[in-house]
Amino acid sequence: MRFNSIRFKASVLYSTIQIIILVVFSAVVFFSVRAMLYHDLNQDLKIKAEEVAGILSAYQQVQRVKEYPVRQILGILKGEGAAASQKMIIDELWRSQLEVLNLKNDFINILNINGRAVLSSNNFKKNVEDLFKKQFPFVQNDVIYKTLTSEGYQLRAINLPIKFYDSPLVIQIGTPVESISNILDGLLAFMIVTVIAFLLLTSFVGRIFVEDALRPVREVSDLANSISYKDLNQRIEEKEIDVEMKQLVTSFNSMINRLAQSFGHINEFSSYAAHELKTPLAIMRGEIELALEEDKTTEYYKNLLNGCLEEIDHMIKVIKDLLLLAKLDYKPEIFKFEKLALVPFLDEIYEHSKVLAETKKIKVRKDFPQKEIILNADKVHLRRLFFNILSNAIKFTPSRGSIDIKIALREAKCFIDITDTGKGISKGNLKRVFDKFFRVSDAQQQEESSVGLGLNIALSIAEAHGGKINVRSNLQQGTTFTVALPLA
Amino acid sequence: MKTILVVDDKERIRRTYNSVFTKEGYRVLEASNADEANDVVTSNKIDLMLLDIEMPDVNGTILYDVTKLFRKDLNIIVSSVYSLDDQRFLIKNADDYFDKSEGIKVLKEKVSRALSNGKHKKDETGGGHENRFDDAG
Repeated sequence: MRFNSIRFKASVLYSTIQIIILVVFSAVVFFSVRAMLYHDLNQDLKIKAEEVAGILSAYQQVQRVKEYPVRQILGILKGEGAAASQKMIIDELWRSQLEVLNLKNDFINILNINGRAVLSSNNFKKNVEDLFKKQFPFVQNDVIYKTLTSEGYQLRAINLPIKFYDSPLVIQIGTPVESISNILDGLLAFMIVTVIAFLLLTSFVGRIFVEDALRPVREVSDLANSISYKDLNQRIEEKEIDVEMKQLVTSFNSMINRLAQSFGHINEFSSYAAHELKTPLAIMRGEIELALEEDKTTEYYKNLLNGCLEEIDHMIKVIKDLLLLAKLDYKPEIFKFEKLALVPFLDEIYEHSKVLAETKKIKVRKDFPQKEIILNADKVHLRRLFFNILSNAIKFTPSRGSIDIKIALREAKCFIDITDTGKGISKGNLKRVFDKFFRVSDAQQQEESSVGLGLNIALSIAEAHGGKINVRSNLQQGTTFTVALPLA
Repeated sequence: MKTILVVDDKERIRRTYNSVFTKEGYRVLEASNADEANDVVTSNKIDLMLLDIEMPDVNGTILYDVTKLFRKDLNIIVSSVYSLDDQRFLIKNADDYFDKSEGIKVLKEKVSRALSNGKHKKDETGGGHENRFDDAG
């Protein structure tokens, strides 16, 4: 797995979030349990201390002797038993209470107001005493809980002030926290193991999910690698993938579609272009080879050379038009758009076409509205568009026919109709008039040098202006080309 | 005398091939589109057709199929500026293919080879060529 891969980043992100959540959750659980356990322990300690205090006052009530109970308790705590037989019942009670309170393992110390121990349990040895003195100095008025730590063991201790014969005493009891530590250690160990196991499991599952989610990416790149211009019909399946990946796959597929289309166009186009350029070469080669077979007259050679010149001119025209067409379609920056007043612009074209149509005695008429129509257009290219359509119209209109140029406005667009009275275009050919190198048979015979790209160039120019060209025709009546252009 | 029909929309191609094969001693007929070619084939005894592919209205591939329907044994050499591979793709099983830019020397060879093969073919089928044409006419 690479470090700069999405898979790696997603896994790291996923695992990091997992770790944070699990650690925070475990910590909250751990500290809540710990707090709860210590709270219970504190309660226990308080009950014990209060019980000790209670027993002290019980002795006080029975004996009404100031010194006795302390000494008694001291004895009992030391395990010496009761000194006086009449106190047996109370002693028994005390002993049983000791059992109930489970004080055997606890360290009990009772201090007077000066901080001097007046009474300690048997097990309150020197090391414990030092620990208490060091870490838990008695406080006269407050109930205090604290954990005392020494090498090898920990104690939870309470400091409880009481009244005894109107003089204040302080009971300090320390109890080992072993049980709680055991529980907490167990919990901690359990949590660490669980968190690690959970992390391993989820990172493994997460990895599988990420791999699955990224599968289309690999498919896209595999396919992209395998595609060459020869097999542009391959597509990635779009079903059963996530929305984001679907976008990627859809975009990729539509890119391939566009590429396939472009390659199709280029193929078709180059095949047409080769055909158009090879034909004049074939003609010249045939004629020259024939002429070289035997000596001919000067007139023959002159005719031959003139014929060759014609073909050369035609080839130059084809190449020029092809280059222009490529520019129109693939170099939009050649267009210089500016505000253009349509009516004066078409007036100029109308005047020119009248001159062009004169040789065939064709009448050119105009029907322009007397208002200002402004377009955003490239004047030079737009002129070419209209001349291409008009020269086509003149070519296909018989002598003494007519051509009408009309402007109409609808829905923020202007429509320029150019209608001739030629023999019309058959339905089958109507679809093909904008195909490259398409020529109807009549034109072929009338004018050999027709290139067959004029309408194509016109259409490309119209499209660059955000417009289009429509054509409709009735056989034997004429043809109308309608140029639709958006208003500025 | 063998008769060759040159079907091509380019007048100068027809004129050149006409001169070439007339000099070679053939009778040469011309047709500038599929309709004309069809008329010539049905009303003349043709031995070989030089057939262009790219023609306006009805192109050579359709004319080939139509002609072969009732003149199965007519020699047809496809003659176009398309490459030979493209020609073979567009029209399958023609007797030969000629790229117009190859020059007339190659064309002459292909025509004479096709016609001698055709003669061979005709002998094998017992002169069915002519009879069948007469029947069709």
